[in-house]
Amino acid sequence: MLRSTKSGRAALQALVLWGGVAVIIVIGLLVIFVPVGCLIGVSLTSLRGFSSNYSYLGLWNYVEAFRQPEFWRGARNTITYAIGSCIGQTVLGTVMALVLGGWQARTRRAIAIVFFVPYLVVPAVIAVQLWRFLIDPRVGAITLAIHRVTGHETYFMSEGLVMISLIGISTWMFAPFVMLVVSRSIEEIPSRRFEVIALDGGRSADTFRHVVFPAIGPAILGVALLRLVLMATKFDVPYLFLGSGPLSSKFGPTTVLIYELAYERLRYGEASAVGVMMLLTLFLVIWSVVLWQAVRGGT
Amino acid sequence: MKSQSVWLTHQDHRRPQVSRLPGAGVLLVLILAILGCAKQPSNLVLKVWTTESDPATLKVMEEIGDELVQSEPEIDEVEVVAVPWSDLSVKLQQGFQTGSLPGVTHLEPFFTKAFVDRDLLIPLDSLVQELGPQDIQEAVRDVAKFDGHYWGIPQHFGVSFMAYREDLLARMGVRVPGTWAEFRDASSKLGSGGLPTPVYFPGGDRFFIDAIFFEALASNGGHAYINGLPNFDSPEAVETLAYLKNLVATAPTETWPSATYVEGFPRMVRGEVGFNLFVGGRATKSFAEQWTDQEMAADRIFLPFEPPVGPHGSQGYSSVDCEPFVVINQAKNSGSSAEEGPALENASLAYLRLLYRKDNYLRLMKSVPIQLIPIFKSMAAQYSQTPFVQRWKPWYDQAISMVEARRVNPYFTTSSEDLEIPYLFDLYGSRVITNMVASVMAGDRSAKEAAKIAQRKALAIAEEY
Repeated sequence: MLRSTKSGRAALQALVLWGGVAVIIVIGLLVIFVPVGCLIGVSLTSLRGFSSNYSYLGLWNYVEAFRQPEFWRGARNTITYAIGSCIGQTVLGTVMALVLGGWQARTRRAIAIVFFVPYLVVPAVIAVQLWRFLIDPRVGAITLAIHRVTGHETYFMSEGLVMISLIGISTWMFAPFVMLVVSRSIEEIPSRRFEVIALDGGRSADTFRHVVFPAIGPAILGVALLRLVLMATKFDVPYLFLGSGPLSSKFGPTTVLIYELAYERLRYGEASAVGVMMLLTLFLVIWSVVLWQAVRGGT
Repeated sequence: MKSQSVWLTHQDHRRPQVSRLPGAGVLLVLILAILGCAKQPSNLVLKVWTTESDPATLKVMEEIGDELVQSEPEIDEVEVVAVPWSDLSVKLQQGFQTGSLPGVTHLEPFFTKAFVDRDLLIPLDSLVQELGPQDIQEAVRDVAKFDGHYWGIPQHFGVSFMAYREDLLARMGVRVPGTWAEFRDASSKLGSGGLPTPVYFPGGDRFFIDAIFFEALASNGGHAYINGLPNFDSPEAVETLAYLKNLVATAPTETWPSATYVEGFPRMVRGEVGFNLFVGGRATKSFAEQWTDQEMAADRIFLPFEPPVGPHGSQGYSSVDCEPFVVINQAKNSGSSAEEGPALENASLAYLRLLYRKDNYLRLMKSVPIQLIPIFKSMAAQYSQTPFVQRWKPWYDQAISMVEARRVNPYFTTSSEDLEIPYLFDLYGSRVITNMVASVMAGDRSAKEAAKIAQRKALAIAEEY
């Protein structure tokens, strides 16, 4: 009797477990694969805005995208923007975390919150507006300060500087995220390790090289990969910063191109094809890093 | 075992009171919410989308809506929504996808044909006949007339201006230019006189880049389209590109791609700008509000001038702002039911009838004088007596003279007949024209090369239609 109750309970537990897994898979299918499937489906058609009529085009939208210089320009801008801002955020965020690491725990957390809260609560539209104002060639505080020091006018929105400005703003906006992640991994280093290296007469550089860096390395790599993907798919900051003029056409990343194709030209099929290619590229990048890590025996 | 039993008894005793009741409550709320969602609203809500963002204009439109609600019991509410014109196509598209299209909306004239072709509008012939087509300014009357039907009625007309600082020009001994050559000279003179931006080109928004190009092309005797096909590599077009490049080269070109339209007003007020290539009538309101010098009246300082004429042209052309109100075909709106659709269309027509009633209409036009000018000739005399219009009379007079002389073209065209072209919407969205102008201005391409590329791309788009 007791055995049958136990086996019944085990069966129930298994049912609950596998039922839960099944529910997660179904939700996953609905939330991820169905929309992606629809995107791929639309990318194979001539679907346009304000119309339900369309025809099957096969891979024509993909071929057409490859033939357009705008596609390649968008891809180049995406790579520049994503890698540039990812490096900026990772370096700045890590430096911030290391500086914070020297403080007492309570102070460190308080400062971390001060840095992190703006990341959470300042919407892109306000941040971009703020920076556009600060770098205004006539009345911006930054340009006026540079003018006072160097005697030269600086045009941050000029073609030579606009991408650097965009990367700079994105670095400013998202570095606190990196700081939080790296800071957390520093906190997790056992204090014993610091004590050991101190007893051995190690200097700060040795502490960093032998204790801190090995501990935070995986966190930096992980957060850098995450930021790279997030920046490659970023739309709001470049769109708001570049405006709808020529700067957007010349320096806009692929997300801006997708927006233009879908919402300004109503070409859903072509926009979806570019979207699918972007999705596949990011998927490949992520899996390459994951595989590389696995081969190296990392996590 | 005993303790477990006690624990269970204890819990069983309490659970129905503390856990099930809130659960039942949540379930009841959910059922009621579902029933509430399923219940069809008994009255109509008419949505009116307007590209006018001025609070004074919106207030008048809301008051007209209130009047409609009071006179038509079946209309529950008129909701007036300001949609920036740059977002209009996006919002309409989203409305089409989600079944939440408005009843009445503004459209850009060069969008309208695409909407007609997609059967998204209902004709407004009877309404136009009631208003009297012979009383409507000819330059704007037919901007939404296709296949013999009126699909929209312009809310107003407004003319684009080129503006200058009278005091700055006088101080530097510069005359108001009448030709491109004179304009270049005037600009150079202002630049060499130390003015930071002799000519302000609002290049931060592609709409203005396109508008300035089309105006200049028309003023150089050029045609953007011939027999419905693009004509962007004509000698007139190449000349126009070179002219714009040379004109703006007198100022630091680093700033023009990010220079916004609205930024041009305070910069003129601060005395940094001599000429502004593109301002709407609304600028007068901005100048009046921002100008603080008591000794010199704003309306004597900020003056309009007619677009200078190019070497191949005979007269200058401006753009005409005349967004028509259209009524959405509710059969295409998945959000409105078979019964609701015709009722919404009737409500939309009733709203427009009220809006174009003389008293309401004049009130609407006076909410932003000079920017909003009545399309009805019979109202011109009364409107022109408005104190603000009297104060800024040179602007009003120029608008009237340009419209009456038919020296105005709808945006993105060099002739009102161009509005029949079905691919204008797509061409605008493709940024072919913007990129052509920008690449010349930035020095990336010669005028001839840029025009050739634009022509090839525009032809490819045209061939799809």
